[in-house]
Amino acid sequence: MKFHAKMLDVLYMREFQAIAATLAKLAKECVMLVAQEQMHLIVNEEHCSTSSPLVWVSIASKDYFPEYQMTPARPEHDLIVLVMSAMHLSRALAVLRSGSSSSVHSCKLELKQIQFPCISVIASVVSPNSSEPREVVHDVPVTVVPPSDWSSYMLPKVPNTQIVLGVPSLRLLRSLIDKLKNISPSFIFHGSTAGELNLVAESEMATITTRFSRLLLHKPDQGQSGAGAETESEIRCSVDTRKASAFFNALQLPNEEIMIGIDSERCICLQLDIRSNVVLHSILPAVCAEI
Amino acid sequence: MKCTLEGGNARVIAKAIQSLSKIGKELFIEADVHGLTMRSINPTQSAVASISFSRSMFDTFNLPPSGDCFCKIAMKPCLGVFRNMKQVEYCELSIVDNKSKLQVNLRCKLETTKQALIAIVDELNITASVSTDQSPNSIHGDHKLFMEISNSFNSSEEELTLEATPDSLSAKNYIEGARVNDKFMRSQLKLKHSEFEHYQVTEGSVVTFCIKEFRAFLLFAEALNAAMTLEFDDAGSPFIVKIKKHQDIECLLILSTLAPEDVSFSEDYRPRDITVCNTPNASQKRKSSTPGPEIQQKRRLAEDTTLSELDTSLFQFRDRRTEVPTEPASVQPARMLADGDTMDLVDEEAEEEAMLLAVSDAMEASQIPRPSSTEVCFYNTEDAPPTLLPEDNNEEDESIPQSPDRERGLRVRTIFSRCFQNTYVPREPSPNSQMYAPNSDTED
Repeated sequence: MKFHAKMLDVLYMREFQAIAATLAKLAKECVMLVAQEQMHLIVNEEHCSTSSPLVWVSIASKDYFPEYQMTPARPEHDLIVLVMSAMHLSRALAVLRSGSSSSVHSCKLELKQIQFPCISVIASVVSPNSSEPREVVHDVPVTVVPPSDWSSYMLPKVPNTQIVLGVPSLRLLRSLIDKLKNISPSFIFHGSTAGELNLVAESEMATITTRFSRLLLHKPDQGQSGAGAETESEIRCSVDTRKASAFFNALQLPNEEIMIGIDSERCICLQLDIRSNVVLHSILPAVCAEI
Repeated sequence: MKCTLEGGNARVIAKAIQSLSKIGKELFIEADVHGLTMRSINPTQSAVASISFSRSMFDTFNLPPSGDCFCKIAMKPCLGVFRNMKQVEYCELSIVDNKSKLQVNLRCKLETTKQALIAIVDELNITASVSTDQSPNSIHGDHKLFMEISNSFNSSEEELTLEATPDSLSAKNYIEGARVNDKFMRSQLKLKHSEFEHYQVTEGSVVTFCIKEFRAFLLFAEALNAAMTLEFDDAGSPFIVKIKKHQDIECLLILSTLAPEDVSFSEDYRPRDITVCNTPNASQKRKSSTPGPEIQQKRRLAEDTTLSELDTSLFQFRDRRTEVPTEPASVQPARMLADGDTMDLVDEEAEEEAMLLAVSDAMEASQIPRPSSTEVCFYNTEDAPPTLLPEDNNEEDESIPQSPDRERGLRVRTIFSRCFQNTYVPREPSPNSQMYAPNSDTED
């Protein structure tokens, strides 16, 4: 079983670090699925009592990692499944964030066995004080999951939503949810095909509705003309405030646009396109809106 | 003793006090012909720091007729006094009230004057019988470099291991070959010798020391914008950090390092190297034990001649430690105790103190599979100054009788200390140990 990957681009390294930091804020453990062409990082703490939603990130390996080699344990397998602490990974990658003070030349990820299996994050950094690159090595301990247990660690599927709207200002949404989380234990997302999203928080004393209008409708397709465009349908779903708030507060990425998909009364599906082949998904399950 | 400084230098002294406060709970001040020296020792006696200010830093400097003076004061009031130094234009330090109080007068902008009286606990001084001039390995570099090294490691890390070879330096938070918890993330920073201004390592060595005191000292180096020199030998020998600025300020930090046989997370310290000796007013003994004051640094390091004459309870404790040399005392419990339980060392009764320490010590022992150092907590108890309360600046000299020490308990704890530890502490041979015979087990 071998895994070896190398990053050379500063921008990609910073994004990878931001992804790891986001996951570290959400949960304690992170599952890494290493496939031939893709790498997935999954955080799933729904079964725990913590209020973190299911979040996963899919990264196309050829973009981030110019060098990417993966050899599974047996030829018939196509994955390596590793479980590690999200905090460790985030700390190991923290050096990639240094930015202005020092520049990172490269970052290597390698699956190694020292006393225990670990992912070695080896970063080559040039600091302003010195002219030569320095090596910073962090060994993140991992647990290798045998194929017999893979069923519990598989990649979640993006649920089938009836409507997907693109909200251009993530920061606004985040501060909004932050302020509304004390009002009510659940939010209701109403999405309409007219390109409107309403966020409703109800309590005994007040009902607060925030309307986002003129949003881009990704699904159903706007290209379809005819009778379908005339009827405005509204889909709604209520979700838990704490999970929504935890998700938005954890995001460390600089992206501003987020796509919200609503599956009527089942779940809210959030999708953040970090770049063309790097996507962050999250599912907020529906709750019964009781007051 | 009376000395005055102007604002900028007073700020430097304040920064020095802030750094020393991170190391120990008490400040030892010594004033002599060459200037003012401030020292501090950490609770487990594994680190001693001293910062010397030469006479040229002071506007006026008056010594008492005896020629020098020593005093020991609690750190907490000092921190409070030297907290906001931005407005200070002039600072005056003097010993008043028949050597029982240190008076600090701060003249600030807008005609404000702050005056503080800090009670002097007693006249102790620290000497370290460690020679600081002959170390085979020495590394000199700017503080920024060491700051980067320190920042690569999490602030919750306790120890730093430096592996020095003639070509490169590797800073790690683990010891090669030591078995650690499976969930422990190892970090390593490799530096080439060209990154340092001066790099001299005669032969490879691995030293491990506590990073907390190192960071405190680094803080002061950063405040001074000065370069630091690390001098060390090999595992078990003292690790020395020096800072020098303009011939005016010289700082020295002596850290004890992990002995070669020990695993990480437990540190063996060498109490024999560092002694705390009583210097009564009239006694001239200390002066005779120091060699002539040729070099500033040597002057601070008295020979260990004072060991024999003292029979205070401190040294009883020390002898007991030498009886069990295979018991590495853990720095960790003492540190926790120092932070939480022993904070108001003087305010609490000594009995209560011992109880708290015993409780936390038992908890510590049950949680973590390391040898716990029970001796250390009792050291703190014995050292508790019974009479004066330094925080109460303006009180009369009340003598509050100290509750009787549980000296008998001390022996019991030492005998049964192994009961508090895990039955099996796995140890792998460290790279420093020599293998005298290869493993002859054919199955292995």
